[in-house]
Amino acid sequence: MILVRNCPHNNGVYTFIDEKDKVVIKSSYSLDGIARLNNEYAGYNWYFKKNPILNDSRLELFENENKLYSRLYVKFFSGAAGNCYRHIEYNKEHLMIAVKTYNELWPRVNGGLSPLHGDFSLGNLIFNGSSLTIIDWEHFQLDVAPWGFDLVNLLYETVFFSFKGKEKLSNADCKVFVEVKKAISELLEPNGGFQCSHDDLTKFISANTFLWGSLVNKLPVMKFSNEQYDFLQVLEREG
Amino acid sequence: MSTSQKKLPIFLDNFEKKSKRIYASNNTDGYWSNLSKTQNAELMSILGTRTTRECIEKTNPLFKEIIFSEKRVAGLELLQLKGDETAVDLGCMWGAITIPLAKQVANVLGIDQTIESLKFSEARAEEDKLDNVNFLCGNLREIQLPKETFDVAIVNGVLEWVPENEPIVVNDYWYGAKKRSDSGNPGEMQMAFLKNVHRGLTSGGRLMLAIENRYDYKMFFGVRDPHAGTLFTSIVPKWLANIMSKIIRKREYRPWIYSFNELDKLLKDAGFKSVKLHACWPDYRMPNYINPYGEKNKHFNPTTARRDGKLKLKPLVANRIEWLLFKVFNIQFFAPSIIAIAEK
Repeated sequence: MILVRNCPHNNGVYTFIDEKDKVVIKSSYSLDGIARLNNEYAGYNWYFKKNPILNDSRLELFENENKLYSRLYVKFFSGAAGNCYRHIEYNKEHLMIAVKTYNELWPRVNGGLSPLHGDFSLGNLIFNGSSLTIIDWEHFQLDVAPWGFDLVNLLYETVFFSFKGKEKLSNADCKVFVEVKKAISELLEPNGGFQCSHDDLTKFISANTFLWGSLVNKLPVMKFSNEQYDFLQVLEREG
Repeated sequence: MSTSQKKLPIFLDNFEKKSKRIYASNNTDGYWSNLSKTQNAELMSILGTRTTRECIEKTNPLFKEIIFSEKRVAGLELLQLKGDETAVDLGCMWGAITIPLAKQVANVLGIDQTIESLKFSEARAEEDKLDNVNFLCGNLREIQLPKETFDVAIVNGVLEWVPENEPIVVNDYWYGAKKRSDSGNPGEMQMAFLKNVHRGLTSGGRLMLAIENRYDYKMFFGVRDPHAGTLFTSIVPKWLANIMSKIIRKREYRPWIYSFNELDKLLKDAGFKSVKLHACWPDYRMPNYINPYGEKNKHFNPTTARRDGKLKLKPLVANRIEWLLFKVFNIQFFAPSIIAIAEK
């Protein structure tokens, strides 16, 4: 067993990979961590049911009687995770696959709310050619977010890392941003509802901080500087 | 209740019960703590007036992480416990491992020589409403464990201290001029201790032992010996370490630590049937990464931050050395710490 993550952001969750049995083992002693494992169990359950090919994947949650400790076993998916730290131009292909997959998978409820992954970041998307597996469902909640929220979050998170701390994006990055934004916008509810914009994204997060707990301040999309924000506003408006 | 679970209460009946969860052997004079006796007295005086966490925050905030951090317990997962085990934590101190362990298994006994540490742990158990944990105060070299009683034994950062005969306050230990006893051969003392642990385990029972690697790469670059506080003493042969230590510390080199191969041999000599070694970075206390020793290391990333705010030379160099040694060449022989799982 390989320990790959030990309580990142003090979330109390240990993540091990067992390469022989092809399984990921997550466990926790903290209330916060145990809650995350429960979310994750529910998330994978939902996801595996939606994907007939994943239906026989291993998924077990082990809780002790007193609910002071939990351990989750999930199938280990091989493939290459996306890299959110690369420029958005480099990630265009991956983003487009993510948009397509999300669109096929996520149920649309007319005017209602959809399930939330909550950490739909390139690092949690495992690509195998043109197919995509979504992992890390620690923030999953059923029917709490507008349809497309995770996609908009993905786009803006990728853009955030493309800035590399500077005030502007390169022309190539701008072009890809506008393209992906257009692809997402076409899928969203046309009038009134949640739109693919920085303002709509952060408004929803700010109004629903409980979904992320202490992690909400660490979400990349909440960390744009004023200059970057202004730059994005112009880009969103002028396309 | 399995037979091994019945053995523990019978064993504890041999000792005087001091409080709800603490039993005392006939030797409770030992002392090993990061705190001085005065600091510990201060901590004891406020224990019970607030939570244990707040007590530490008020008196010794620096130790909060080392006592309470969940990161400390990651290594326990290597055991993949089932929940019905009886466990013993040898040298349990403030309960950093004991308390989480009690949340996972049927019964835990924590043994330590420092009564103040046990009182603190007892308060933690009380707070977490754990009724399956007891403590025994006494010397690990003297208490003979009951035969075939425990399914799991934890020896976390303890083996290296077994050869020390006298009270220790960690901060004074490094630089204190106090003359200390050199009686007994350190290797033999450690072996006797391990044989005692082996005796206490049920057949198929497992020992989890965590300790620094004698050949931690940092020791070659002028980082001090983690226990003796001297330079290069862990990496040179024992006869030379003794000469160096006698010049600097006026005493033998006693806190022996081991390489991966030596630890494997030591545990097998103590009677263990099989030993599985793991390499840990940046150390076994707060590991960020653990890999089965000698196996592929493809998930590894250097654990020394390249920059901590400002760019500094030392972490940068350490980061690059780690990358070369462990990522490129995968020479885990020089990994910082070892966690061994030994089966009886």
